[in-house]
Amino acid sequence: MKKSFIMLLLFLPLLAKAELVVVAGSGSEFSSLTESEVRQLFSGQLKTVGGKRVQPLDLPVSSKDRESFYTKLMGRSPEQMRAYWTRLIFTGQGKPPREVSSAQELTTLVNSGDYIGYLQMDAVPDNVKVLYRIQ
Amino acid sequence: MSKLYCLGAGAVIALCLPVGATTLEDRIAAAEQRINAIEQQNSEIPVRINGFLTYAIQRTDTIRDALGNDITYGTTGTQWDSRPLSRAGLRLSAKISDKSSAVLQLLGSAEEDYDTSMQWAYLQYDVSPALTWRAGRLVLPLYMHSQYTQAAYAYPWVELPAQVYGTLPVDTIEGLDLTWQFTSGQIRHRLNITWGNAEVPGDGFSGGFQGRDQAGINLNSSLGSWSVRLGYASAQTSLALPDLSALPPPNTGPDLSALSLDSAYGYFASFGTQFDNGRLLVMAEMVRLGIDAPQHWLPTQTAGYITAGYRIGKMMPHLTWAAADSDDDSDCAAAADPAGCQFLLSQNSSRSKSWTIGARYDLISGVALKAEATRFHDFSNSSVTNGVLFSGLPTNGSPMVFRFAVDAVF
Repeated sequence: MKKSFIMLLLFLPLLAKAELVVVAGSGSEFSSLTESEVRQLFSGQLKTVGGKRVQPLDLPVSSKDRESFYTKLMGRSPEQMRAYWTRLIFTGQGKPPREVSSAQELTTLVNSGDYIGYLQMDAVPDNVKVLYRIQ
Repeated sequence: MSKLYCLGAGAVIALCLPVGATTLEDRIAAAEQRINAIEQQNSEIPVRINGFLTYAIQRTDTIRDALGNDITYGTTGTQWDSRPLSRAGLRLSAKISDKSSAVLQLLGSAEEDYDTSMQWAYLQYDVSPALTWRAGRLVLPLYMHSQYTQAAYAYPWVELPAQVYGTLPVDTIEGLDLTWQFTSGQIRHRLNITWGNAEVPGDGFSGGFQGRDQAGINLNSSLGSWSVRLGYASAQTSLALPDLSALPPPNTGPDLSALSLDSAYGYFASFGTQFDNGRLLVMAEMVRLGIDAPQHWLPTQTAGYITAGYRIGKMMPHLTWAAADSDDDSDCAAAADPAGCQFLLSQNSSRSKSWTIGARYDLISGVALKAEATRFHDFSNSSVTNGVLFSGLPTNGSPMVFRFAVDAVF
């Protein structure tokens, strides 16, 4: 009994889903963002926070983290977000987040401009700042 | 340490070749440096291209008029027909400066043998982050889904509710608009003011339709999953009608010229609302078109629909009720040619109701499969009997239209 309990504790981290966080470059002026701000930034409804321009980045369309991010944050699947952006593009109201090819590219970009992106908590490198944790 | 020799292609891409990279570490370091060089090109892409493509087929069941003749839905009969709904489009948005861009949208429909037409061509200038000014050929913002009627991937149906979206033959204007985005508390608003002129070429029967000094205002407000849209537009409308009495038999007809529209006041009012929480989708729209025609031969038309859909995984079944009706307040007895007035009245009155059941399946992100069936009924009220969406008045039961489509955006 005791042995299986220890085994369970050992494997618990594998069972738990990775937590996603919204990040900016280490030099970012922001220390945190609210859930509402994050939701509006990633749906094109908000382009500035406190007068400062913020540009969202998306992980590749095949990324499980991207699917998980939009499902948790907006309650929308990647397909629903695609239909949503189609409406905005053809209405001339906005364009979807720039898509990066990897978490490494995301890290590079957030450190080179006014970008924000999302990563797994356990994959956050030292040179980025966590602004919001997806609950 | 090996050297990097870079060939700079403008500021966009720098091609760096490691020379003499012998170890794996050197190569990785060189590759990383190259990736960083490319990734740090933060300048926005100068020309963005978005596109859409729809291949759709439709057919009807057997529909007959009172004399037993076959009648069609638009031009579609009982054979599968891909022409009315299949189309493709490209939207090019070119950045001119940080605040201005030019947008062109090309559309080719199967019905026109994919002859390409310019649906949009406008310049956009961001006066401030909240205020945008546009000038050129714009989409006439009459309906909730006006801006993307051709990009069917954006909505659940194969065909937008025909009673509502077929109310006016005009969908673009040459003019300008201003869009102001603001918030009041938690509610986000988009206020759009449009001015311009619209024109539809003549069809051989009548001269071209013109809407001059077309002025419109619409407000879109949203809070969380809810959004509401209110719109009103007015125009001075002109339509030259022919004198058919001068034609040799058998084409002889009434003299309609006295009933032509000459800068007649016309208005288009609309209300739309939408609820979409990711699972449940409810949409409703109601529109009203009135034109002050001589002897009121053009009845005021009211049309609307309500749709509910529920998303289960990648599938969304949906159900739509739609209707169109006309208020006949004509005074044809006082017309110089009462028969001509009556003829125009009957041609321009509409009355029908329909149920549409359908489903959308998201194959992958960017590609959706759709199927739907529409059953039309109730073609008459106290003064109007008309099968305006059909080639005649269906009398054998309730006509059905079936549609399948694959929609893509890229």
